[in-house]
Amino acid sequence: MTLLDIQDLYKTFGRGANAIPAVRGVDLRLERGETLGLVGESGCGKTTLGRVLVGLNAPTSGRVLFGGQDIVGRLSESQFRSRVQMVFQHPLSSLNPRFRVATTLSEPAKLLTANSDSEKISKAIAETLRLVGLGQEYLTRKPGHLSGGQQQRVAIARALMSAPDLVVLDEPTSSLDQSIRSRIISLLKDIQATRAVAYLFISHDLSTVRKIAHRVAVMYLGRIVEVSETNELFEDPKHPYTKALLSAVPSLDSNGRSDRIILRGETPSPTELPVGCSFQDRCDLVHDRCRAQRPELGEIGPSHQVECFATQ
Amino acid sequence: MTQVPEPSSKRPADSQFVVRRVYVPKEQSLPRRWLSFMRANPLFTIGLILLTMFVGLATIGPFFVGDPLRTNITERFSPPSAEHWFGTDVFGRDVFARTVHAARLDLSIGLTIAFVAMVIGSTVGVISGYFGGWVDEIIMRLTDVLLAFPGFVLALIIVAALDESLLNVVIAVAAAYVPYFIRLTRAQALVEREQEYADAAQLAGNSPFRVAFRHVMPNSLQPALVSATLVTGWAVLTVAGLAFLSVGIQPPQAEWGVMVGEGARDIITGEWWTSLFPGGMVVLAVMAFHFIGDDLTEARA
Amino acid sequence: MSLFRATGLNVEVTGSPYPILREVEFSVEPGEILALVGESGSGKTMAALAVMGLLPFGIDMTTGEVKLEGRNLARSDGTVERDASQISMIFQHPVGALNPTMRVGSQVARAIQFNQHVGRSSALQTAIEMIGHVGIPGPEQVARRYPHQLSGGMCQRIMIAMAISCKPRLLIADEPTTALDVTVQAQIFELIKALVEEIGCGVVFITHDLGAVAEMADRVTVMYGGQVMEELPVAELLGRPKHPYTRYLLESVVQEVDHRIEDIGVDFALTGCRFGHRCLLAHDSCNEYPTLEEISPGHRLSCFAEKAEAP
Repeated sequence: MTLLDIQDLYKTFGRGANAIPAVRGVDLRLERGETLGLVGESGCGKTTLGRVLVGLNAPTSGRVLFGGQDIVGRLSESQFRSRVQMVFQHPLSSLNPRFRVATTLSEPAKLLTANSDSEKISKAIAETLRLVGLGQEYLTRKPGHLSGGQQQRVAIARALMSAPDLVVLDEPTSSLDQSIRSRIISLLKDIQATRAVAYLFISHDLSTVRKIAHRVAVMYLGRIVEVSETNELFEDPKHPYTKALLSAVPSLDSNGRSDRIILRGETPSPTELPVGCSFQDRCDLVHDRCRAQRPELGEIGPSHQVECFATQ
Repeated sequence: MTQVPEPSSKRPADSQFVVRRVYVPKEQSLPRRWLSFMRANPLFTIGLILLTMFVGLATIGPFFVGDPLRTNITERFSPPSAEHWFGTDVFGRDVFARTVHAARLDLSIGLTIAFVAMVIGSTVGVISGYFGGWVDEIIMRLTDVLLAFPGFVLALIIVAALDESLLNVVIAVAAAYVPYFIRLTRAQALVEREQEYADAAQLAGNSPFRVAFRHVMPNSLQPALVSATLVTGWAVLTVAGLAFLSVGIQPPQAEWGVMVGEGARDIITGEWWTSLFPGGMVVLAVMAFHFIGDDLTEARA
Repeated sequence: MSLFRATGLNVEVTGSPYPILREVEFSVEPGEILALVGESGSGKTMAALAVMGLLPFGIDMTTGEVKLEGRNLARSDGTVERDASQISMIFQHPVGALNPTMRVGSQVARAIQFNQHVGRSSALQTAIEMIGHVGIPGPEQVARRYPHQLSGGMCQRIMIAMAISCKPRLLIADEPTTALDVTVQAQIFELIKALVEEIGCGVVFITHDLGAVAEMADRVTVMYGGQVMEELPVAELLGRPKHPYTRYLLESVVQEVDHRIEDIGVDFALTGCRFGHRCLLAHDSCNEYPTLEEISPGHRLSCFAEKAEAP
């Protein structure tokens, strides 16, 4: 059975004229032990989607099926709380500055697992610490004395303490130095191999996502515009926005290449969305149907879906 | 030209290279560092010296001076002398002895008030800031009501309403400063609850109350702790002011405000020492707390 | 003759004997984009502030020549003459760099008004034209908005409009797209390149992103610890750079080697090369301060390695 099945999820902040629709009807699926990359630029709603999934914000409507059960509003129940966890973007601020590592790690162990035996908890902490590649000497340290990479490892360990099936990672490497990123990515992959945990990897950094995700979903203005198996997305993107996004990334082989796609205009404000496809004002393939009707995700290949009339 | 070879992560083991530095001055010795600190922060230093003096006076002073309540009519209104450093008052009591005993009373009351106000105010402030919503609204409006009165007037009203005991003085003056701590802690709690660690604490299984008190509150206390020094100074001033008006602490208790109250009218007849010394003490004490508190507040900012 | 040439820049904290920037030099030709590259703390922003005369209080430029079209802008008292019609600068955080209490059109207009000595309404007209020129649709409406109502990309365009409104000879861009989305970054890069073609100004493009360097730059100056390590055309940077530090930089990005293990930070008290304590080719002569020397046309290197024995 599919681990995670998001159905028609909406999240709007505020009310009336000032309402901001951050997530506008998202459908996504995630299997056990799989990594789904969720990419998009600022304001596309990917962070909001992540937060709704783990229960930090309540959705406006829609269902989130976890192992077949709708967990909307039920994430405070420990049976679900322990199975869905999150790693945040800023390692330093995601750790309580006054807590030692041991304290930080013991909380989920005590509160979310059946273990009340302090010896068992210590063992679990030691084992998880080893899993993230940190020695036992880190138990007595406070976050301020750790490097960014070490802090993020502690945050990952904390997320793993309750043996979750799903970990949502919101830009986990964006605040880390280039050279540390790949280590954290390798760590995450190793953990996935050992513990069969599924990841929702949210990031704006396409090159990082490519290294870890099995499938990638591209988000624009609160909707998923393309979902595909990773290599296929990067080599053969179909949605005009995905193509522009991929070509905009500067790389060392670019040297001012001329086939770069430069998008016209700016991302429209979510409060002033046009009728029809929200990408219409910036798209080269736009035609009348795009302005009249909003496209839906359609299959154009095995496990490749695109939301665009021009490609369907 | 020589080819530059591939760099690797380690220097060859036989490398003899040692970097050379320009002359680096020796670390300054501890006393020298204190001196430069004092030069750089003169007011803080003065405050610290004064505070040390007051703490000394308050703790061990009373063991060394005479009885503050012993009267001796024959010696009334003697000016400062070798025997009576601060002279004697209308009843012949040694002003210096009274001043020193008053130091103990005033400082301990001041500290107690600041502590009580901080504990109550911080707790309420965190609740208000973290939970928000109607809880926040109600607490804020109640705080507004308290703040509508000038602190001194509020304390006056409360002491007048209750009977005049030391405990009630503490309650009254603390009540005047609780709103200040509520606001301070609430502001910090508003910031802390948006931090990622507060979210993470929720995900780790903490109930909202646990997140508020175990995670957010300890991290919201710093501005309150820093302000506690300032509040101690204000508390001393308020207590002395009330006592001057014969509200709260009454004569013959040795308290700076009481002494100023009793001695104020003596100035007209020329006996300046009965009010100047205790009054001066109040000024110095409040100054000391202010200098320290100001610097701490700036350092935090 | 170079359009812009800064030489011998020495910048210190007042009262401290150790220079933050030591003998820094860089130059730009007309119509050329020079990338000033380094990690954080390398001094690249400090160098830009120094030539603009914008060093913060407590930091002084002790020596240095700042020549724009041959004329030295640096005065003997350590200040630098600043004329917005000659050198302009754009900054990293576009929304924060604009005055939040003024409409953006007025901000651009003010720049024009004061630097070109024209009247207010004429300046406002020109401002609206410039805002349209940098690719913002509906410039009359946008000019009436406040910075917080605009996106990061639009604010950066406004800053660029301000910067080029007086047709400067040199534009200094300090990490202009680091805070922006990647598609917006691509747009800003295109804009800057188009403006360079049109106005013929030189650009000093400060960044730590080597991908952006590959995109934008014609030439590159590499800095570390307040010292210029190498100056070379961008093609050679991506091919085989010669300086050990430049190679370290590329390794960190391309092969993701973590060199930070041996990084103990920059020591400004060193007599010699500031990369000495980390460089595996370091030897005794590295306790002398290296100077930039030309090793091939357009490629200058400050390193004693070539004088070392081949291992």
